[in-house]
Amino acid sequence: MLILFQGGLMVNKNKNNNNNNNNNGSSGDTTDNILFVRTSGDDILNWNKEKITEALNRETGMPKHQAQVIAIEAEKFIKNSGAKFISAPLIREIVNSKLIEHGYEHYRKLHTRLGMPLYDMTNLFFLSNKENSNVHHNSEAINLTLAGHAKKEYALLNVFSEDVGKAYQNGRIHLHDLDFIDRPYCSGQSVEYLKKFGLVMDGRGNYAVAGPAKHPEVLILHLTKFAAALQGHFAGAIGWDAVNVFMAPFLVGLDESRIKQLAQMMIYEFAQQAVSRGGQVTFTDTNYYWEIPKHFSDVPAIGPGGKYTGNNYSEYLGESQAFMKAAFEVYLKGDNYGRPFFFPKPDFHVTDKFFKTEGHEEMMDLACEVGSKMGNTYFIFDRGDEAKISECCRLQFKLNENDLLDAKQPWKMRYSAMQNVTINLPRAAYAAKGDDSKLFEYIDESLELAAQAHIEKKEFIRKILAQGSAGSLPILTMDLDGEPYYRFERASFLMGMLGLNELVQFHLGEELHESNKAIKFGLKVIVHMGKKQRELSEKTGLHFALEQTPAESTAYRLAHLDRERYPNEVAKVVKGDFTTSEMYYTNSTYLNVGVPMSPIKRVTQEGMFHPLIDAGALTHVWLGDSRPDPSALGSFVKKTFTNTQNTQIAFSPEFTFCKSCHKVVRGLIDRCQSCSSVNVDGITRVTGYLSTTSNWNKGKLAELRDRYRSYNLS
Amino acid sequence: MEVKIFWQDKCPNCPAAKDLVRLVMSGSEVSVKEYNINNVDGMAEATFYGVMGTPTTIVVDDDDSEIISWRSQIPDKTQLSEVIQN
Repeated sequence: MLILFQGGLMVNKNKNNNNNNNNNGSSGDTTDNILFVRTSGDDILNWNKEKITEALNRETGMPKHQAQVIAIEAEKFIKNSGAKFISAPLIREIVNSKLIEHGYEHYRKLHTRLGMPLYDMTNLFFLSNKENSNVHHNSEAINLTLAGHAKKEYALLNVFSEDVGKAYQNGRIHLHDLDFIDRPYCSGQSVEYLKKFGLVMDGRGNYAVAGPAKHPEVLILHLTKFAAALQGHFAGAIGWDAVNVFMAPFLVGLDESRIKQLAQMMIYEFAQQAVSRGGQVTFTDTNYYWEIPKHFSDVPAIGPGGKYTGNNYSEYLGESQAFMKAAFEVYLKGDNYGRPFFFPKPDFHVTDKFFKTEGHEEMMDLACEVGSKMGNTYFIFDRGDEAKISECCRLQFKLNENDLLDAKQPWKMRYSAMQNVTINLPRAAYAAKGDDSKLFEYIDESLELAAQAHIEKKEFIRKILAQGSAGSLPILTMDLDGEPYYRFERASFLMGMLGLNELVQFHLGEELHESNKAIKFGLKVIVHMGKKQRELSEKTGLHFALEQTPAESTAYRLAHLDRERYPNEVAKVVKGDFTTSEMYYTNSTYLNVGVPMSPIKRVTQEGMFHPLIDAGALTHVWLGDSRPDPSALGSFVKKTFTNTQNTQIAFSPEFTFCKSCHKVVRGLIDRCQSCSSVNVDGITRVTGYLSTTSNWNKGKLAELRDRYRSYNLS
Repeated sequence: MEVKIFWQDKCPNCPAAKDLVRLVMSGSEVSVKEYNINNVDGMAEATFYGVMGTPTTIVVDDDDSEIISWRSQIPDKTQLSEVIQN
């Protein structure tokens, strides 16, 4: 008796074995074998070649008479093979090979089976996946990777066109989060939605529904639980705008210690939520304003129980500031071991109004102390009348006129980027061979492919959302305010860039930092991309926006793919070690991370690109094991705000955490200074968030080795 | 040294700024470059110098460093003359 395999097909060569309960009746006319088919429902059915005919017809639309020919040939092949056992996937592949022999490539594609080889699955159980350093190895993470693998294959076969799929696979463009093809990319929320409508956890109301919170603790729990639920509806970050401002009406009359307790509760609730998707902490951004932002000043405040308090938000400045201050004090202390919180990220908005608001010096000192000691603070510069909301590693949305109208009803302020597609810029330089017009033509074609990818993803998400609450994104279709939670037509579509530095280096022979000519050419490339992106927006009606791609794994993946096709060219410009796997392209529009350069020069030069990148940019200042005086950070931040065009900076210290004695020390070291244990892990910023270095991919570890640390901010 | 003028279409003061610079610079050996910020090259150059409005005139030294600028305004004729003579 020959045996079976997995939820598919069983083969039994024992003619006398009739212990099956099938009712499909094998004809037995073409094979001496009795073949039993185990379906995915664990039923056991007799071999019946008609099943192949039916499957081909059902799955691919192949006419039955053609499918019958394929089925007969496949059956004949199996009969003649003398195989000891056979599985359903194998039969499918045999059928596929017959389709190829007949030139039916279209049907073969539609007949593809998605899944993972046994070897890869074994590795999944025993090796950690390091594509995203915020996903730590655990059983849920395996589920996440496994599902993601199948979804990625599905996306490339059945969501995107062949041109787009090929461009992704050969590394001309990178389609981010293909493993979450059935969800939009990232989003920004308003606390007001929860305050006004309460919490419908699943979007359908099948589980207990909570009314608007009456107490601050409950509001915090609504916030963190909803963020976890949203993590199942978006691929990436969940941002919350002006949390301190919107918490404020719940804090009236509470003393400082109580407010601090609440801030601590909120940060820990977000930071420890490693029980949701893939055992992964929700990637959360929380936006803070010391002042009441102009667009919220005259907005009626919602208080406990979802009721208007009768006051505008401008009247809650004291409570709002108290919560912000308390939150940063919590960040300063860190977790129980004194390590920085990785999430939620605190986005500190530095505005013109900030400097006019009483107490700003004290708040700046505190934010800088957190920046220097722990590295948490993201300093976001909103100059002039600009208003922005931050959501992701660096993704920011500038609020336009429509958005500011929404501010009158802040619960409407729900924004999203549906997808991010990154352009491989060094590839354009290799293809152009020094010819300017070829370079820009190549970039244009890559952007057109990105636009096509966005159109295709939008269509797929549209189909899912069209199923309403019966579909797989029920929170996004939930309608509590006269429109679905996900404002589909307001979504943005991101076009990222990778390796501008290597493009310029190959094209001109100089890296960005080496001459004004190089940096001006880099600017020209990004201006050109912006112009093309606007043309494509007009043509397609989609709101495209340039973004600095975080490129945690993309910087590594694209360098590797380019090495296959352009080994000589890549060898000239790639960073890290070309001969090993430990290489990378410089992220987005950054200057070479390893070049010794004063931090203010880096912030100024990288900042030149920021006004051209409408969906957000960030400059890192790598602090290494130094801990600059907070006042030095403060004057650096003010100088950056006043004298540069830079839109966001973050200071990144490095730590070593001993897993044996739980001591935390400054700097990256191999052995604990307290207990001599080598069971240690590094902590620093990978792209736009802090994480443990043991979880980083080889490309990012190479970058970490190269990073130039600034020990002097002046 | 070089004088850079940043201009764009539908900018009411741009023609006057360009005329003034041309007038002051006529006969001078200092080169003048005009950048239309609606073009890719012009916009890239404007971004490098942080130009936020037009007309903007910037005098730079041989290292591309700014010596003096008139941003979002017509340059001062006397000041410009003095700078290019030094």
